[in-house]
Formats: sequence, structure tokens, C-alpha cells
Amino acid sequence: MISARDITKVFNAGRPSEYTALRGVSLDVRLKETTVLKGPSGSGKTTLLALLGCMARPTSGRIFLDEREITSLPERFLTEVRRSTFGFVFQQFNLIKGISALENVMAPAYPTGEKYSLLRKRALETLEMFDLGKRAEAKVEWLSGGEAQRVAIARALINRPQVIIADEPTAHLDTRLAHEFIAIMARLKSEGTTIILASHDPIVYDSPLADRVVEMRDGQVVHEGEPA
Amino acid sequence: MMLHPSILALCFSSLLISLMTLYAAGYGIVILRRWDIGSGSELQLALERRTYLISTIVSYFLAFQLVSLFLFIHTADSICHLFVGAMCAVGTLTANSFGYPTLALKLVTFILAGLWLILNHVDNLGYDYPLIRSKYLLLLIAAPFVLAESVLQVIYFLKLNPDIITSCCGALFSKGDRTLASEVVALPSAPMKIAFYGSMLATLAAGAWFRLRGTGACLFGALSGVSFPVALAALVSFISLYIYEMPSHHCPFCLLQAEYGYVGYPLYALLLAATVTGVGVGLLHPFRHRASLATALPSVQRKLAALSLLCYLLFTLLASWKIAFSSFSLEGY
Repeated sequence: MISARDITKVFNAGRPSEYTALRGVSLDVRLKETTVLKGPSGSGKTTLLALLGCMARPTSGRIFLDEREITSLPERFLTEVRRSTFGFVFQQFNLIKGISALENVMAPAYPTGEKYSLLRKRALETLEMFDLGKRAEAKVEWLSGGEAQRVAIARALINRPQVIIADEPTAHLDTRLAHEFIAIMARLKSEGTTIILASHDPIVYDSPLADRVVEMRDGQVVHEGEPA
Repeated sequence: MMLHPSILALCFSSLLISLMTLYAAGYGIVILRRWDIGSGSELQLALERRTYLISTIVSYFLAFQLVSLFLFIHTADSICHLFVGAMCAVGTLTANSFGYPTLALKLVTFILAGLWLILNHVDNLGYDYPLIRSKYLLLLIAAPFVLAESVLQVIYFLKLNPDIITSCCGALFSKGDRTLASEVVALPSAPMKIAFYGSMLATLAAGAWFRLRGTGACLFGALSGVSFPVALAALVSFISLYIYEMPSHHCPFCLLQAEYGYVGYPLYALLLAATVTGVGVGLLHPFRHRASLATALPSVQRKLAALSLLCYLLFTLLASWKIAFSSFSLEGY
């Protein structure tokens, strides 16, 4: 269980540009299920995802991962939790241009110190899972949108995370690729991976993949429950 | 005088260290009063975010504080030719009444800074800031000393006047006066040798026992603290005589000069390192039951004890080597 308790996030506090992205959000995310954060732009979905994934710290409130409080952790401990627990798929994929798909997939595992040959073998196997074995050495700028998306997912999986976090994963995909993404996530979920998605795409929050939908607006949770 | 590069470096660094220490001490007061790891309040989270940055910056400043002791002594030694009557750092330090108080405070801040760096290192090993209150309390204790040292140091350098006639070390470290230096000089050599080797042996034995059995950390820390003044007294009382090969030259500063192979630098560095790490072993011991340090703390204590033992051993061997291979004899002296 990932539990957020009374989370507030304020950007640029004390400045004229101060902006409160989250206001007293409390939320429980059950493991091995798919939770979709749904809401319009500016509702706080991405901020909440970043906080749940330990990519940012709240202004106030606490987050617990399996009963362990993680928001107070010093940065190097938090980095370890982030690296070993979460895999991230970004809206723009954020693949590193100029290097190959294989190197992109391997990149998040470099700090673990795993032997290069073993890591390379594992990265190739992960790419094979997504039928990208033949494209492993291709630079990412040569990949199609669907291939880039699958490389991004493979990269998120390289450290064998317990939780996959994806922010607006279908925003730049056509309907076919969006369904393909849902299928991949369903496969990961069936293998026991927890999935947390932020999306305002009905393909995502109306899909059978979603176990729970959390509706957000103006930095607050306005409704949460099973999908309609 | 103030435009001497080393003096500028010392004054500027002391100013920065004082400002940072004061800022961190002020922050430490908030930590001591308001820190509550169980709370998710905005203040608590802000304290958590800022402590890592502040601790990191303070640690760099205090690391320089360690170096500044040696820079201060080296500077005092290197500018002695500017004062009539001065032969070494003693003459420079006695050129006005602020020299020795500054040196004494530098010694105190060296030890406090070293201990704070140890506490900070261990605190960073725990996931729940296990020593945060202790390290900021120590910083609060150190802050007045750091500030006083900076002020005295600036006054000392500002009041240095090349026209005055100062004393050489022969005058200060000689028998007959009623000063602390003269009292130490007058200590009989045979009992001092027994005290020196006895304290070193006891400290080494306590350290070895701690390394082997994991017990006696506080005893080792206390003995390390006691060995420091004993070793300093021994340096003045009899070790220096063997190094200078003169029966009446007790100066602890001429050891830093080229004609004696700069032997003072390794001797003082080893002694200070041994003391800080040894006392650090004892200082850490009360925290061994903290859950987040259960595995890391014993390992750090063992490493500190090993370093302390090595430094004490090298210090004793170096002093003994100088005594054994000196052509000077103290028998009957």
C-alpha cells in the first residue's frame, strides 16, 4: 500500500508566483492494482504522481510505502527507494537522444553497479519482451512513436520496479498505440506490478485495466472509486 | 601585516566559518525546539529539506577549520623574522596578548570541529536523522568558541606591531617563571616519560581491546582525551630536548622549522587526529542502540578506533625514534 496523508504541495512559496498544486490530499494506492488519476490540466495529477514516485517532496504531509514513511528520508535513501521501487514512463518519453535504445534502457541501472555484461543481457531481454530486439542498437531518434513508447516502458522496467508510474502516457499516441500501451500495462499488472497512471484520456480511465479511478480537481481529490 | 596572504586567508576563512556557524547554530536552535520526525507539518518538512544542505556546507567550513590551525601556526612561524627578538612562532604569538588565546581557541575549535564532523558523518548514515539534535547541540556549543577565535584572531593580527621587541622561545619555555609553559618545562623528565608511555600504552591497550571485543569505547574515548594533554606536556618536557639535542630548549614550535625536518607537523597532526578520532569513538557510543544506526555505527566506531590507534602508534614511534636516535642524553639531567 502507498498511502498519502494530508499532502500539500506549494510551488514558489512566498513569492508572487506562489501556486498551490495540491491541498490536503489523502489517498491509498493498493499494490498489484492499477490506479488512474483522472482530471483536467492543472488538477494536480502530475504533482501527485511525482510525490508518490519520490521525485519531489511535499510541502506538508507524509507518504508511506508499505508502512515505511518515505518523505522524511534523506536524499540518498530516497534515491535508493525511487530507483528500486518505481519505474517511470513520461509523457514525452524523455529518451536520451544520440544514444541507442539499448543504452537508454540500461541507463537507470548504471548507478546500481551491476556488471555491464549482465546488465546488457538483461536490457536486451527486456527489449525482446516488447519485440524491439532488432532495434536495440538503433538511435532513439530513428524510432517510430510506438517503438519509442515501448523503449520508454522497457527503460522503466530495467530495475524490476514494484510500481510503474506513467504520466499522460497516451497523450501523444494514436488510438492503436494507446490500446497497445494498455495491453502492455495489463500484462505487467497480471505479473504483479502496481500501476499508477495520470491521464485524462478515456481510453485509459475507462479501460478494464483501471481498478480504481481517482478524480482530481483544483489540487484536491473530488472522487475515488472503481471505474464506472 | 594584514596584507600577508596567509593572514588574509585566515581572517577571511574565519569570517566565513563564523558566519556559517552562527547561521547554522540559529537553525540548530529551531531544530532543538521544533524537530519532530513524526510530524508532517510544513515546518518539519522544511527543516528536513534544509538540514542536509546546511550540514553539508558547515562540514566543508569545519573541515577548513581543521586546516586553519596548521595554517595559523605556520603563519606565526613564517612571519617571526618581522619581529625583533622572535626566533619562531613563539615570538610572533607573544608579540601581543592575543596570540596565545587565539591559539588555545584554535585548538579547542579543532577538536570540536573534528567531533562535529564525526557526528555529522554518522548522522548522514541513518535514514531518520538519528543524531540531528546532538550534532546541532554540539554546533551550538562550538559556535561561541568559533566566533571568539575569529574575533581574537583579527584583533591579534591587527595589533601586530613590527616595532616591538618580543620574546624568543628560550625566554618563554624556561624554568623559573610562574607561567604554565614554565611549569610544564619544569616537570621532571623521568616521571613525565612514565606518564607519557603509560598513557600511550593504556590508550593503545584500550583501543585494541575495543577493536577486538567491541567494549570499552567510553574508556578508550576518555583515555584519548587524557593522552592529549599528557602528550603535549611530554613534547615540551622531554621529547623536544632529544629533537633539539639541547638540555634547555623546550620550545614546541621550533619543531615546525626546516632545521628539525618539520617534524612538528606530523607529530601534531598525528596527535590531534588520534585524539579527535579516539574521543569520537566514546562520543558515539551512547547512540549505538539507535535502530537506524544498528549496523553502521559499530563499523564507524571500529574504523575510528583503528585510525586513532594507528595515529597514536605512529606518534609514539616517531617520538621514540627521535629519542632513541638522538645523540643527546637526558641521564642525570
